[in-house]
Amino acid sequence: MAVCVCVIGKDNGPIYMRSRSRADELSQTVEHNLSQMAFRGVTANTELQYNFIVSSALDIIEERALVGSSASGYKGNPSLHPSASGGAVGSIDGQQLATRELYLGALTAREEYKVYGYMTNTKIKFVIVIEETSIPLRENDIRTMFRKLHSAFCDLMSNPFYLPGSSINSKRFDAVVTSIMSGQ
Amino acid sequence: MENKPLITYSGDLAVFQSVVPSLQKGIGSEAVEWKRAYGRTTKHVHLHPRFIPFNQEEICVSNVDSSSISVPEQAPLTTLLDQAMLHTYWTDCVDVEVYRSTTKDAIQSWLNSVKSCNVREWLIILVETPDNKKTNKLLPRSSVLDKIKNDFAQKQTERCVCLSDPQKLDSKSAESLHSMLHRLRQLLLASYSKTLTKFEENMRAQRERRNEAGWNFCHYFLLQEELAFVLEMLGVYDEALVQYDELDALFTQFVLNSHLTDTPQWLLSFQRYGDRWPALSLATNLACLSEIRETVRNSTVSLLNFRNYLFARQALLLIKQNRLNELAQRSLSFLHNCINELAILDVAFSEEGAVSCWVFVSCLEILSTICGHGQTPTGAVTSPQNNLKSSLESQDKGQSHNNKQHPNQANPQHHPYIFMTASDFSVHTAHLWDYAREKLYELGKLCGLLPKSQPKSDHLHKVISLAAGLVCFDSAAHNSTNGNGTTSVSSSEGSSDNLEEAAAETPIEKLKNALSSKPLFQQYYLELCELAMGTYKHIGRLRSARKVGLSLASYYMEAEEFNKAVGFLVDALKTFTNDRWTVLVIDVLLKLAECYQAVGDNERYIRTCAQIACSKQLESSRRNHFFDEMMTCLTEIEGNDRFVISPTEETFIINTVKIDTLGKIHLESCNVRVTVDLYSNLPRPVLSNCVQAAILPYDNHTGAPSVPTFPTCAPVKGKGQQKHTNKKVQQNQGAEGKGGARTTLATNNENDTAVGRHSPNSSGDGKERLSRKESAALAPALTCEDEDNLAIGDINPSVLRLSLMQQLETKQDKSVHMGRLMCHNIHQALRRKDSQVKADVQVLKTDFSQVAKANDIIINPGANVIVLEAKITSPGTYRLCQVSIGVKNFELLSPRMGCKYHFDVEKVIGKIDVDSLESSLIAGIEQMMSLSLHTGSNSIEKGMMLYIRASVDLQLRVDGSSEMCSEIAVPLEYTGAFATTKARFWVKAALGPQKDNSMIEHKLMVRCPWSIEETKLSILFVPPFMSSYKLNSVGQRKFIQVMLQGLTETQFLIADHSLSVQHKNAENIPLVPLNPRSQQIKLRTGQNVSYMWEIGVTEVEDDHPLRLEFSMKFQCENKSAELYKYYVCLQRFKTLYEVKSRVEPHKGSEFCRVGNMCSMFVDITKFGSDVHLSLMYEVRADQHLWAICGRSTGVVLMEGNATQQIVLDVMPMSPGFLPLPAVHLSRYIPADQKSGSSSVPKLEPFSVGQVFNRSKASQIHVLPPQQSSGSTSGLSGGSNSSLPVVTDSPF
Repeated sequence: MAVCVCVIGKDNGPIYMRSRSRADELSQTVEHNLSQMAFRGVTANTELQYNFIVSSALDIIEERALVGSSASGYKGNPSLHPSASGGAVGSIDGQQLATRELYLGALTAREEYKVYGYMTNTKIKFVIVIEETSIPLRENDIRTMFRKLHSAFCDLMSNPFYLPGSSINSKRFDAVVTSIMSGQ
Repeated sequence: MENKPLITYSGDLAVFQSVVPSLQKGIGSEAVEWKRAYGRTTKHVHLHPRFIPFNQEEICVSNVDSSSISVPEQAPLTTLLDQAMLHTYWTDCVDVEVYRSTTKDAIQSWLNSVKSCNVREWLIILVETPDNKKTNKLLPRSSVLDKIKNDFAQKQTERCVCLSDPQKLDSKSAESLHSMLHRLRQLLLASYSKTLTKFEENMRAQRERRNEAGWNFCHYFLLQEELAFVLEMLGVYDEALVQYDELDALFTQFVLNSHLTDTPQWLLSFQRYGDRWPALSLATNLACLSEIRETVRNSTVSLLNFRNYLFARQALLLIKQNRLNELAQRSLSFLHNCINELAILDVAFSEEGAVSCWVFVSCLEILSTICGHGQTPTGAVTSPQNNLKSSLESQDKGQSHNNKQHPNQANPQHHPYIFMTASDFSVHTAHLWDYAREKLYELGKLCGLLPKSQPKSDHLHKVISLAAGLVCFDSAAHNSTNGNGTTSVSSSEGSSDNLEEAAAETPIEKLKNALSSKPLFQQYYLELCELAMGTYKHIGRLRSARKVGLSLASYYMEAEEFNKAVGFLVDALKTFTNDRWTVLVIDVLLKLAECYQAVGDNERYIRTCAQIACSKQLESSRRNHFFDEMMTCLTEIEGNDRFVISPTEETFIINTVKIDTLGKIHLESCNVRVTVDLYSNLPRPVLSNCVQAAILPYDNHTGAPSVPTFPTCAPVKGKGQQKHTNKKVQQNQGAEGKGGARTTLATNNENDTAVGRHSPNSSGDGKERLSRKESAALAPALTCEDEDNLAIGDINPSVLRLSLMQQLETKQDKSVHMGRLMCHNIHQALRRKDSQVKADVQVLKTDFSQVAKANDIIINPGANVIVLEAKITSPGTYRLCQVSIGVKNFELLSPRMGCKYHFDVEKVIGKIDVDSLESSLIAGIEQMMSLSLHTGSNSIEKGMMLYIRASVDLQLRVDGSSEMCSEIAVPLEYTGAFATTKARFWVKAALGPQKDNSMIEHKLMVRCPWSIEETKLSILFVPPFMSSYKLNSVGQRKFIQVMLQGLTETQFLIADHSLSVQHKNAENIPLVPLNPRSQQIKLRTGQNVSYMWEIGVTEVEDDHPLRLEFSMKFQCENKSAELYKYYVCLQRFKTLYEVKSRVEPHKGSEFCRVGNMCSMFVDITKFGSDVHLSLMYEVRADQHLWAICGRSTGVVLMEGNATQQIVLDVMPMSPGFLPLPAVHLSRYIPADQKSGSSSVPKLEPFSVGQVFNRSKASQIHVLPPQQSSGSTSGLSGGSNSSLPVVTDSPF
């Protein structure tokens, strides 16, 4: 379940940030109590916390963007994938692929969430924080989310009244983000 | 103990014993190609089997036992490790008879028992000793070997091998040994292949039943692990790992599904044991692992233990393959996954913080393994920090070094990883460090170890119970006293290992230590922070590092060590500001403010408060709070000399700056009005005591030559060092200017790479490099001039001037084929510019000695317009450099403005002009004229004089009373700057005899009161009239006519004309005026006046010039009359000859007719006595009128007689009244005079009046030609023809 959707401009400043407050997402499990405690250790402000999460995910987006496609095959998913020769294949793929894939895969993971990234060709970055739940989301689901977000963003950019790079204030975009966050 | 493939032996034991050493040695020496079913890749396997005696009971019984658990009928294999994979029979029987009698039966019974085993692969080895051979030589064909083959292996002859003479060292026996070994390996592997295929089939069948009731994962796990063990034993680690990964995935799937459907029974056991959180141990200690295995077998394993075990096995296999990087990569997700599973399975732990303990210890364990691998294969010996440092070092030193450290990595099979490990290690470890740090913090919080909390007894209790739960099988010996004794089974085995490792801290001990006391906790926590941050920075994840830094800062703030916190906060602030991540920036600012306040750093506190107060994202109450804080603080430090200087950046935004100025110095100074349109972000109005804008001279020269060498005009923060190098290079190049730009760039690049190359060699320490990077970013790189230059560079277009070059391409025949312009600095000119130019945070105060300022201005929130005033005293070009806004002792400085806003101030020198009057000045009369004085930047005080000097013949006068003179001083009125005053005075230009209408030019030398230099002004006078004369003759009488022509619009009254002879004997010459004496004439332009006098000729000797003076008075209205004089000079004007000519028709005809020849008579009469006797005449006529026949030119001698007649024939050419042909006389001086002065005859013209032509204007009537039939034309029709009429000219 997506708990935070963020759009980051090309100069690394956020232009859209929407997160679900953790308060309305109570969970009885021990690990959630723990994680909440962990959060309180730094700050109680969850909104702020998401900002931190996304900000540090930027590091990895930059890394991925730098290495380009060659890294995506190899570093892409920190979750288990038993590819013995993954490194070799990845590097070969990198040379062959002329265009970078927009979807950057999982960027970071914590106990309670995973962060996924997507970067358009104009260096607009989308970051979605997915809460780690018992029902894991498939890679494809996440790709779909990003594709949806991207097309919503394209629509937004097509609006002549939207100044590119300014913070996003659009009902339609909001609606798309809401639908993403509610998992539709 | 190590697992090995098992081979049984039976038969002749002595024979086997003799061969076994060479077998043991030889069998593993060569790899065997293992071809496998299902198209799996072929592996090369080294076999190191163990030989055990064949014991039918043991082998078969164990089989029956194990198989009875699952499938009794088919008795499929459930264990593999204890299976003998090959059965061998050894014999040295050489005698066929013996064979037949005993050996055959023995083999047969052995074979029978083998057939009853699970693995039925067998091999019979016949050892031929040398002495045996000799006896057998006679019967080679029916050897024992053949017999054996025949009896037992008719179809599988390869199952019988003959080993010849193993003791001997000759080639034959070596070869036979070799082939025997080969056979042995082949069969062993074939046996494995067969067995494993069967095993896998069974395994798969088992797996397919996983959803059936009664299925137990634990049992299946053990089954598949068996396979993994075998693969591991055979050295096929990657496939062994695959087995574990499959198990892992299967288990994960079960756990995930359990959430959705009913939890299977077997899974319930995993949920137990919430009172223990055993730490992960990656030590290759089989005892500890087998301990867990035992619990798996009993289905009493806890989730954590199971996961620990699984991961430990995976890690082990990864390490064996030197895939440390993958291990690092997997570990974080392993930890996360575990926690997730704990949650899904609702494993309740007895103590809060248990999971944190587990995570922390596991993190450290993994880290120590990753970092320690290669140096200490057993792991967990050195402390992780040391390992990290060394690993960082090793990473910096690059790949080659890395290979040395991990020699195993030279294995070509895993070649790609060598390239990965060096750089990628820390990508994964960084997270682990961070994770461990986080967990330690949580634990510290739980146990009351944070700076602010006081440890209480329940905290202590917590520590103890947390530590108690942390049992590890590995360290059971330590824990047996306070643990609950479940692990005591392994104590005997584990203790020996623990003793060895006691020297270093295990992760568990570390945790226990850390939780034991506050200082230790702090030490560990800080250490972890440092490591996490360092590793993040090392891999270039600055933001993550900043996040850790912020946590650390929070910790320091809690510990009230604010000074330490500030550094981290400032770093974070920079990073977030760079990203323009306002939410984070505000968060950091709030913390910073807290720190500064606590430390008492007023200056920074004020700055931070201002920044916070301007943050729009914050709610207004907080903004107001910080605004108040700022103001109170400012009030406190008021009266202090010190000023708090800060960039305006966020507080005030200067939108536009407008400069209003005339640009001219008015007296001393020039007023400049600067209108600043500024936007205040402060939440409330603020009183600024002084707003100023620095005005600096705009110096084109300082900017232009030095700037071009800055390759880009983007002074982005953090490139300070580069800028410096740039600067240096540039100085070396001097004023080379644009040409140097590219080379500068190149050197810069070189420099960069040099740094890159240099640092690993010199230090090899990642941290040092990092710190250097940091310091470079912090360096206050720019001086004032640099900054200005950069600012100029932003705007000055000449910086990016294109250097275009013409380029012509010629064809072979040297004609131009193509011409083009090439830009050489295209890279620079077309360089993509950073659209977000960020100024350095540090704003340097420029020279505020000359300012436009305004005092005590209230700046309201939002837009403000502030008007600043300045007075510029000296001329020049100025620019606005910086705006400073002072609020009490707080001075906010805007970024440099470069040359965007500039203005000129000039000093205007006064000017003098001649006023143009409506009518031009007229010479000869006195007139008023005026000069205009434009004061410019000067002013004229009352009483100042304007000194005027006139050129010759020009006279001046200040006013009516004074005398005319050539030099005057005109007093001036008071006049301010940039005004005009007039100086009036009288002028009179002398009027001489004026023969034409040309203007008379005069000069005025004027000296202004404000300068000592004289200005030359030129003025033009128009003459009122011009005069000319004419001499007229009538025969001998002479008349002189003087004509005046008016030239001006002004009307003049002319009177009193007179003509007098300026001669000694003037009275003798009578001049008879023909005009009345009192005649007065008005004259203006376009009008002429003539005066006439008759000169009494007879009294005059005209050899000498006769000078006549004409004088008259002219008067402009109401002005005094002026005298005008004109001189006439006459010489040789008396009449000497008179010419009279007439044309007559020839005799017989009465009229002149066109075409008829006529006679022309020219009479020349002589008066007086001319010494020259010869005259030359010339008759000239228009060819259309007259045709002159005969001699038109001739010389006449005028000796004696007074009159000479010349007759010419002329013919009229057209009818009508024709003027007579003109006769021209001149003196003829013949060539052969005595004097001999000239050999050529000469002509000398007469002067005016000496020859009088009496018939000058006379005409003759010519009739048209006769109508013509007859030759008698001349006489016919005479009736109507008129007589020739000769009209006399008036003279």
